[in-house]
Amino acid sequence: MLGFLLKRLGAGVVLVWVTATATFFLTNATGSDPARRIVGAQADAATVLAKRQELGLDRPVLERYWDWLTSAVHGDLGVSWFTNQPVGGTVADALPISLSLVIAAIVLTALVSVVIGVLAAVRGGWVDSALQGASILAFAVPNFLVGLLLALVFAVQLGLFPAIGYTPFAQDPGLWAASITLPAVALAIGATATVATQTRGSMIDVLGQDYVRTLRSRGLPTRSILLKHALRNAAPASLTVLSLQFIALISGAVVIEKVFGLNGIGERATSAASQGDVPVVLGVVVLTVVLVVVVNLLADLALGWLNPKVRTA
Amino acid sequence: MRRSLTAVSAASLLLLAACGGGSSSGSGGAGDDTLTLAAITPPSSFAIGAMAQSGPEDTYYQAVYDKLLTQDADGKPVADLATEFSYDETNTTLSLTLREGVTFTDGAAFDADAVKANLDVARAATGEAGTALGSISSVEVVDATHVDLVLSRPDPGLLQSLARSSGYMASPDALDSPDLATNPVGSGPYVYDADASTAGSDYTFTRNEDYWDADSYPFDTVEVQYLDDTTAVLNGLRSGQIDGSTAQTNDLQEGAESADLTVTTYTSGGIEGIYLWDRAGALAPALGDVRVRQAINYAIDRQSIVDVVKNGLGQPTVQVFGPESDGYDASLEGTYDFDLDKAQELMAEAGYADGFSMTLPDFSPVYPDEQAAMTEAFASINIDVTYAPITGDQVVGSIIGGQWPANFFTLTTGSPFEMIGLTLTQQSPFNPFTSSDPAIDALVQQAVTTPADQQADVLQQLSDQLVEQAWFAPWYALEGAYVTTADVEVTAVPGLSVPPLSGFAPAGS
Amino acid sequence: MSLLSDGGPAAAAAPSSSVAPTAVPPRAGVARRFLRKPVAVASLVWLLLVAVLAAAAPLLTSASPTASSITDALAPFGGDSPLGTDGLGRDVLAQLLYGARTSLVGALIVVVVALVLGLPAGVLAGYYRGRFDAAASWVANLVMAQPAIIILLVVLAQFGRSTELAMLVFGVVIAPGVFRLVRASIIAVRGELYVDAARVAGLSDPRIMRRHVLPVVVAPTIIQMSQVLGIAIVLQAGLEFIGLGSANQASWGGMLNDAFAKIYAAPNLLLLPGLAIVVTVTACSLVGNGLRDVLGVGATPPVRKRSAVRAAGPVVEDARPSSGTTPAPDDALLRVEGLRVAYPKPDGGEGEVVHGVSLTIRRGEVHGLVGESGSGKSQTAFAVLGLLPPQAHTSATTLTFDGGDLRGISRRGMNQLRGWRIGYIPQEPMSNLDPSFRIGSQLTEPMRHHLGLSKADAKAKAVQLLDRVGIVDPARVFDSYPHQISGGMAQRVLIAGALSCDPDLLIADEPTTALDVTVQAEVLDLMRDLQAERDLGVLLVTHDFGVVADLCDTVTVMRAGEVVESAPAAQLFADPQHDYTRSLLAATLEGGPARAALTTPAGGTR
Repeated sequence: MLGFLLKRLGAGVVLVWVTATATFFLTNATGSDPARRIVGAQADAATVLAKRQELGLDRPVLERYWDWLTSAVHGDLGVSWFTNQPVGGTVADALPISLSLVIAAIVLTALVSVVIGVLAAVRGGWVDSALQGASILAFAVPNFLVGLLLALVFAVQLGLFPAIGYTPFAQDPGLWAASITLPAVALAIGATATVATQTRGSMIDVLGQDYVRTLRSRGLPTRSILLKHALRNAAPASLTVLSLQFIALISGAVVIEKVFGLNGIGERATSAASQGDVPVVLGVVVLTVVLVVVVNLLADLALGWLNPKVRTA
Repeated sequence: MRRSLTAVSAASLLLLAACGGGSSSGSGGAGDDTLTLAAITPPSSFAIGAMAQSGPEDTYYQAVYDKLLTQDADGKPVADLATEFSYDETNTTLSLTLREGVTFTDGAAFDADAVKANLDVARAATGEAGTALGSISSVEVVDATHVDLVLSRPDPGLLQSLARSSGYMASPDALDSPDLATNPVGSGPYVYDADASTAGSDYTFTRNEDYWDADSYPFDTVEVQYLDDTTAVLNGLRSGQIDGSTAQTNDLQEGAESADLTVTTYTSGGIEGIYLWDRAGALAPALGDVRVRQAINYAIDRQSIVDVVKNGLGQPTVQVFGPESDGYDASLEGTYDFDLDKAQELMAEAGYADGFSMTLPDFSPVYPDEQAAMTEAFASINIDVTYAPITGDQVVGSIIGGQWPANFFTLTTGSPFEMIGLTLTQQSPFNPFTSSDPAIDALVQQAVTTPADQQADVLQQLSDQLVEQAWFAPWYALEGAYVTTADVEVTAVPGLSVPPLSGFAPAGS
Repeated sequence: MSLLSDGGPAAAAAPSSSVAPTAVPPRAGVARRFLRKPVAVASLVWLLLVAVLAAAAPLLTSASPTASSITDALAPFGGDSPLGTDGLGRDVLAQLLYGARTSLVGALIVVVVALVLGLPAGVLAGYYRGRFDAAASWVANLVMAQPAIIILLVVLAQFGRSTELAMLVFGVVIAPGVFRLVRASIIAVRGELYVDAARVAGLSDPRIMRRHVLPVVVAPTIIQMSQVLGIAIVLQAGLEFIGLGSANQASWGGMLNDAFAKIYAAPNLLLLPGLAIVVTVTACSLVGNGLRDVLGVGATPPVRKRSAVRAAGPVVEDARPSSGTTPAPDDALLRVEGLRVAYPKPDGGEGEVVHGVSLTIRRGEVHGLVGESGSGKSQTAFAVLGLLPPQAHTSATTLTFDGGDLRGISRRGMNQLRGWRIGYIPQEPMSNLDPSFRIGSQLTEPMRHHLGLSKADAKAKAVQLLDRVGIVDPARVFDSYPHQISGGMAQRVLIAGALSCDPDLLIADEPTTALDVTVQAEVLDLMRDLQAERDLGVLLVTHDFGVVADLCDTVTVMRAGEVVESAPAAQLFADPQHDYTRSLLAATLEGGPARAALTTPAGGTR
């Protein structure tokens, strides 16, 4: 188990490195001169040169890459070219917002899709048809549209939730939950459709297994067979899909954040990318990929824990 | 209500059972003692000299900083931290008398040394606030409460600049700290509360208990929330989470009106339209030809644009000096009445009957309607525009950096001199291609040196030249609009695109 | 919008075990079968309609989709603009038509890029495996781990905002999904016999690929692509929303975004582009689902009936006796009379597989139920246990256990008997233990449930049972997972499980068939000992007369759902009455393994 995890961790590190490297060279590939862009047109050549030296842009790209990489390994992601703020801090300010949103969405997705998936698999009939229909629809409606409708109904009309903005958890857990509920729901709907469909499928698979019949032959109550045995065996497939959904949720969050005026990673990424603020772009990329690696590791851990063959190896 | 809200959301987060009992509108910080405003951009920096000159970011700065001067209800520079100000007879030394007894929130005293330290830092900086101080050659401390600003040339726009972000004063002890950019230390009516804020997203300011003019600021807490999406702003206003926001787009205004929010309008001092930067034809050779620039002016249906795009909030003009200013020449207004035939004729004469193409910044996220109108105008004379993506915080930098031959833009100024300082001199930030013209340059020189009572005439001649040579293609003098909820009243200052923080008060007070 | 890399909501694309077809799907009549699905056909028609409208946009409207005419803003329906104009006076109809172009072209770009990258790589990786497979899989995993939007942001920031470029990049991002699906399908088919045969026959690789391998890939890929089309359209709308689409180009997403800003002033503008997106994406999904059903690959079909575990109502229905009932012996443990099992047929009728079977088991009697595969013997056993699939229709004139009528008994009542008074030993030991739980937990759960034992008592009894069924280190096995023990041990565990609550009747379904010959003998010995020890009634389902001779007191022979002969074992062996019995016996006595000789491929015993 430990060896397996170390291997996955190694793969994760490689993933981060490859991604960061690719992004570094991609973002440094443009012909325009960031130094000139930053200091403006009035600045004389000396100022531009000074800025270029300050940013280290006069040095060969490989050398800059090496410097960036070694600093990054030590946790220093450099400073923004445009605001001179440390990238780590800038990104860290936005992280709790996006993370709250994505985690809330993933929790919602997990809970709701288990309930719906199991119901559809077990009840069949109209419940199943409803799930199939709803999942197709949930998939077809752009999530920002869902977000807008939720905001209009539950925030503007009913006043149950804030329509915009984010309250940090440390400030007021209740308001925190209120501030991320609607965006998390909007975000979770698409993922729920996917995960519930997967849960349904694997539940049906599991329920067709011989050992379920044997468990039934032992006279065990339905609840135990369904929720203990079948769900446990269906869980790995759902969990795998759920961890893939995490990546999709990060993407979705970028869009949803805008609807609810949440200035999270999405806002940082969008503005830094179009500004050409290379250090911030790199920071955001590294951070998200690290996040993905961490989540995948957690998923691997959970999968290992669920799978005795891995656990006992 | 907060309790029930908390309970409801916690439950729904777990169970997705969102429909709960009916508490009505309003949550967040819209209490009596908290003012929550939306701003379309986060503060780029709180560092002295790095701040934006005016505009949406002012709200953040005004909360924490005092200025040397401020603007009165007519937009004229008046006393603030400097209680008196006067020029010598050559207009090259500005003497300031400073307010006594003011301290910064870190305990440092506000005195002549503090002013010198601030202005020296600002002049060395490359931001908008810094470049506006380009005419200052040195700052001389006379005594603790008197300071002289020695100028290299007369600068009629200087007082305006000092009444804007160039005049902000930070604690001299914090000036050298790189931390100042995110953690301002000033003497203003409020103190930045970093713990209650999320940098880059929402900023909370709490009352500065020692402030010398506390009565002008009735709210105990001010929150400024960065929101760049029209729908999000409207949702915030309608749900009562936000008390006020500028309504610079048609969508926001219409939305606010249909939602029974209060829309306050005022002369903002802004001139909106197409600013033709590349008069030398560096990026778009065609713009080097005056006939092309004139053609563009003829191709604009200013009145329709005001009616449809601005909801009527604007006065069509061809001049960059506002209708209220002494540089405005009413007789020029007929010069470029909408005339497509004339425009096409001019294009043909210039050899561009088939038009040309250029790349402009894509402002559609902020100015979707205006950009569409501009595209329509360009298309009518076969000018093909490609839009390059850009974000809000990059706009000014890229324009100053000479990245675009022209673009739709708003410049908000309190006087023709400020407009001259911003756009017409070789040092002007918004003269990115350092355009020059003998007649214009001479008139600029003359305007600066002419005695005040004869300035109007010179400025009007200058306006005449600018219109004839079509350095700009203005559309209208903007009327600003500010949306507030029923909880808050706002008093705007003409010439300021965003009402000052002191202009806000609880409704009915 | 779900920026998934692995396919749509129906997970048709998921390269999981559910895909991997084992044979080339039948191609003939695909179109005909598809045409019989009205929803799928309607969806396809809609997509074609959108495509035609998009292509014919210039013919259908003279208005330009991007030209604003600000004096005509927000014109109502009708007039020069049939669908009105938006806030800038742009013609809504023209925007919809040209927007369809943007959406469809964008979606096609995604599909083409994903196919060009994913298909060949998947084929090569799946067919040749080895280093190329390792490298390609590595790259695929790398790409799949990236949030699509981050890649899009970085690339678009470098090369400028453009819908086409965004779709191109998204095609690259989604290509690993195609790669994995194709690769999985190919790996599955590569091991098939007919591919091996083709290779042995000397066919060249390209030829094998064309003839045998590629056809397998086509169906799942087409289905996946129909999902991808939908994803691309939704994603595009999202990109427009965050301002990454091409400027000055009509698109549904752009319309939606414009309408969004006017949600309070002109909410009706949201309707048409919203509907266009939702309906078109839904149509893509439905076409995909239709294809999936027709081609018979991919996700699990709809669950028509309640599943077995939740089925309610009586297990076995009462049936009118068709003839006089035989008198029951006083010590009858299980009496079955006129048992019938039928399954619904696709045409709406029912196919009966057990036609009125009767048998009686007395306390302490071992009753063999013998027959070939498909003879209905397992169906009979499961019918008694109430473990037939929910769609099975079971009826009997008499069905009693220990005097109690099992017909019309509630599931709850049945659960009181099963596991407690009636034990069951399955055929395949490994597949009948829950792989996720320890042996101990699986053994103790029924005991705690039925007998109300404490955890410690249940464990003590379980260890004792394990010891009794001949497991050498019961404590270790108690703590083991099923994958950690051998098949023989697993069967002993299952026997222990069946006996754990001290039942009166044991139903054993081919309990030794799946075991090695040596282990078979041991398990039979064990069963014999236990039976004698506890005076169990046993219903032993088997096809093996060796086993029958070894254990049984009475034998019932079944063929094609009917009892052909029932007699005491000694009598049956000595003097078989029925030809069929004789032929079965003859086959066994010839000495070959009975199973091989008699197993027929048709049907199944379960």
